[in-house]
Amino acid sequence: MKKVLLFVLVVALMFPLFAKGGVEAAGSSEGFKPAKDITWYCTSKPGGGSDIYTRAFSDAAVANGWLSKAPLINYKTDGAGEVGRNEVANTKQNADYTLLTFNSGDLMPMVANTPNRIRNFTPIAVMATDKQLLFINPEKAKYKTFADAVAAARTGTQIVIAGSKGDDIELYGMLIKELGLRENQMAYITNDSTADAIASGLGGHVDLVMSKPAAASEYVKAGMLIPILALSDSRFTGNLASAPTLHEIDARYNDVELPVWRGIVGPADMSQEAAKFYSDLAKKVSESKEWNEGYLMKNSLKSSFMDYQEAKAYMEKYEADYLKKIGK
Amino acid sequence: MSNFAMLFSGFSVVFSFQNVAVCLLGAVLGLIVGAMPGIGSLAGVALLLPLTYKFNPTTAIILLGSLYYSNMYGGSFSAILLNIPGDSPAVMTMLDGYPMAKQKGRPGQALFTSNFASFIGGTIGMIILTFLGPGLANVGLHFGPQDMTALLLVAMTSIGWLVGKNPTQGVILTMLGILLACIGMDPQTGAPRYNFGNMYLMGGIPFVPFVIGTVGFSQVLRLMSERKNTVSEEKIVNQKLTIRGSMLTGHDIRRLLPPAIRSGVLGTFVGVLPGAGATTGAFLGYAMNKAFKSEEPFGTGAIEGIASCEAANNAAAAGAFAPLLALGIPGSGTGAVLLGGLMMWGLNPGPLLFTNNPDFAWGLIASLFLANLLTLMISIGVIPFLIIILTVPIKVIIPVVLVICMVGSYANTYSMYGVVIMFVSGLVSYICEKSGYSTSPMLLSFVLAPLLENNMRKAFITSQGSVGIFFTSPISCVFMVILFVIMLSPVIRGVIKVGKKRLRPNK
Amino acid sequence: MEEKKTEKKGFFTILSDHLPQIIPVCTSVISVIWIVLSFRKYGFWDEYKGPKTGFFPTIIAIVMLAISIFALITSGKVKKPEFDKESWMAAIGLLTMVVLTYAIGMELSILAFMLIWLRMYEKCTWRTTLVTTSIVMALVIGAFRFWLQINFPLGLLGLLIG
Repeated sequence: MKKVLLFVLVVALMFPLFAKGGVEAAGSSEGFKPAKDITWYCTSKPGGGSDIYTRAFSDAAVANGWLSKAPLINYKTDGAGEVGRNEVANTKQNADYTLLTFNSGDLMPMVANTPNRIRNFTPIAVMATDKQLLFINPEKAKYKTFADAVAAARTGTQIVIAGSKGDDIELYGMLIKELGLRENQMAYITNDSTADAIASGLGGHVDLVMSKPAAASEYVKAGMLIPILALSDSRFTGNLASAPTLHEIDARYNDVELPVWRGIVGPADMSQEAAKFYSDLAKKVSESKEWNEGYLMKNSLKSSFMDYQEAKAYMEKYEADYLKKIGK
Repeated sequence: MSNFAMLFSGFSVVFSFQNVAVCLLGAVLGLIVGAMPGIGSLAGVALLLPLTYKFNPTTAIILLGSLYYSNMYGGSFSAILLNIPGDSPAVMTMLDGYPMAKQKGRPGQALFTSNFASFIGGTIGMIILTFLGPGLANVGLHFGPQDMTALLLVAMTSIGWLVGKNPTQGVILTMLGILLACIGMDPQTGAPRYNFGNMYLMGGIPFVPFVIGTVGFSQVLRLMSERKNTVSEEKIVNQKLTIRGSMLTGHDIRRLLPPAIRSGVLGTFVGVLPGAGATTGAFLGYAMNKAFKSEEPFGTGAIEGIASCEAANNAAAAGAFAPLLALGIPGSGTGAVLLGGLMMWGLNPGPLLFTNNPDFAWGLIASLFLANLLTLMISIGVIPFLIIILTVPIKVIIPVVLVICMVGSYANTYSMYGVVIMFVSGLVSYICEKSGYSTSPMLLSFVLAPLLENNMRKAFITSQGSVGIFFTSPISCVFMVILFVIMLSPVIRGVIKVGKKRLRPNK
Repeated sequence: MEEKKTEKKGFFTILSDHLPQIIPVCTSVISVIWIVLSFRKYGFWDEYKGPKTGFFPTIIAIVMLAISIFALITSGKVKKPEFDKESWMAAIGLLTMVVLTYAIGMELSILAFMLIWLRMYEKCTWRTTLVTTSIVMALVIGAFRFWLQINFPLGLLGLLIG
């Protein structure tokens, strides 16, 4: 009985949202409400980053009664996630009940290595964004500022950056392009995870470490890493505020940034009503206490919610920019 | 000595009724999860994580820590009894464990050896962890990519011991294992390679289904012809199905101790190294102890063989807690999940954990000691029940193992792709083995080669393509010297042997 | 397989007799594919960065090619493998289970396989058949599906249910 009441409440709450939608929603005044189990694809193994994010979302949605039943998480790790993404893109039968955790780190290899594109999905929401910084290990680093490191690279000393896979590699490429350096002047080592990159920085095997704020924060607190470059168009806050942006270091350069986002998409065949329902659900989750304290804060992520229409425009632009960059 | 005092305060945290009960629960679940092929500690820990939200952080991490730890015990059960490794370090255990159980008819003693060696290895690892604590983690940091490359080259020589009677054929499959491991994503550029445009192959060949096929399924194919030869109730178990009947003799224990202690120390340090993990630990332990005297040759069911790898992999699992707790650096996927768990309870794993939450950090270490002891007792207690499996007639075992192969492969990849990989690799391995190709070196090269390639390429990036880096870094230089010593001695001996054989006509 | 060595030599017998040659030929082909791919697509050595994508695999492939050729030359000495027809039954059984999975789902296919294999193929007593089957089903459903939350495929049956 409680559940039914909650459902009525949810639908009632959604009404003004539909009304704002105007003409579009008028056709189906009933809207969409899930009548059976939702299958949520996750392209990491249980315990992976995408899994934690997906479960945090579903926990928040269930705890507040916005979903009567937790979605079934379907782990599809084959082909480094491409198989799962392809499956969702081609889902026709159950399109309104299929969701996929989709991040910028998924989009880049997908468009680089497969013909699958954003147009094969229905973007539902962007939940959070993140950016990177470069750090040095104050005990072992030969160059204490980023300007010194760039100067050394220009005069023939190789500077080595350690980072993780995926978006970190792309960001590195953008950085050396902006600096006008070659890959051997400022080299990049790909690690399986940011933790491994930090370990090589702590051991003094590399000059610079690329990391997002969350992974590095404990080391910054302990004084084992110092941020020296913000890969963003503005400075970070808190104990990362000391790192200047590239443009601040030298006015000749533009700021370099590659915002990393975590989002949700559905199959291309998902109805607009369903997309709207999930998008509204995501909005409520993004404002919930569970999500903000249990997920965003723990991972030092910035909440930057985009609904299904904004997310569509954002993801499409992101894909177009990236395709242009890799020359496809 | 303050570390020791801290450990005692840790014990005072652990010895509450709830924590001991939870530790016991973790040990039992870990054993089961570890013994099931296809399900590793990663999935076990990840799936239990939600259950622990109700507990306080210390209790919760004790549960997960003991589960992770006892998993290392469980992996060897199916390796010894069914010749199917429950996890990747157990590939080495299988080499001696299965012959000891099957051919020598001492399954109880094989399990006992594995459990006892695991206990010794784990205890050594934990004692080193307690005394050196955070200092141990710093040892790992000194290992750069060039040092890891050199170490892995040394580890790869252990493959040389496995090629068996036909070295040519053994080397071919070793190389094949490496080439298969190259399928998937390039570790440095992230671009797909050798996938022939296939989407599934883009993610590479998953290891667990590959092992289940190569070892488990091909084993079933072999058993099919054996099941008629043996009299219905064949006597494969010539011991009583009791704990007493599974006890090791004093002589056995004297054989077990030296390799277990050596491996325990070695394994601990391997566990501390970045990205090396329990599997590399097991391989290195086996390779090292091979150099010492053993009563029976390794690979024929020697107690020393089981002890050397089991002790090393448990020590490595304990050693891996040093960088995890002291620096917040997980050595494996499971470590990463444990870290995620820590964060979920509001702790900040990282360099400040020992300072800010000492009771927690030491509580966890103390719980490892407890988990080690509890797991030993449980796993010895279940030996009689486990060896009942060996009294089941082969014809009944065959369909059961077939189902386990399929379910295990599916559970590991969450898709039929794993089952397909298992089927194909099993069939091919069976045909190859029948033709005199031994497949175990292929498994080892499959695991180690990607680590080797990745570290080697990292090293070359920092040296701008110069080989000199492997000899200028002191650590890697030492390993290179060890490598040359290991490689040259059997090669010379082998050349002499082959030369002698050549002189004699082949029958 | 007693009559194998007598007059009639089927296709598979000829095949298995030549396995000592076939395997090295296969591995040679694989190494050649790897070498060609490495040079044409992935690159070998970068002047500044050292090894490229194809470097490590190429070296290994060259070694494998050399040893495979050596194995082919010396293959005459290798004992011809003998296979037992019965062995392939296990492969066929597994394959049937996989195919059935697509139709009736994995759990039902396992159930059917266990019953048919034990009762019809191995001629076990009903008691043995049922006890073994129940243990296996308890493991698959209890441990894998419920505890470890593995969603086994439902096959075509899944379409009917949901």
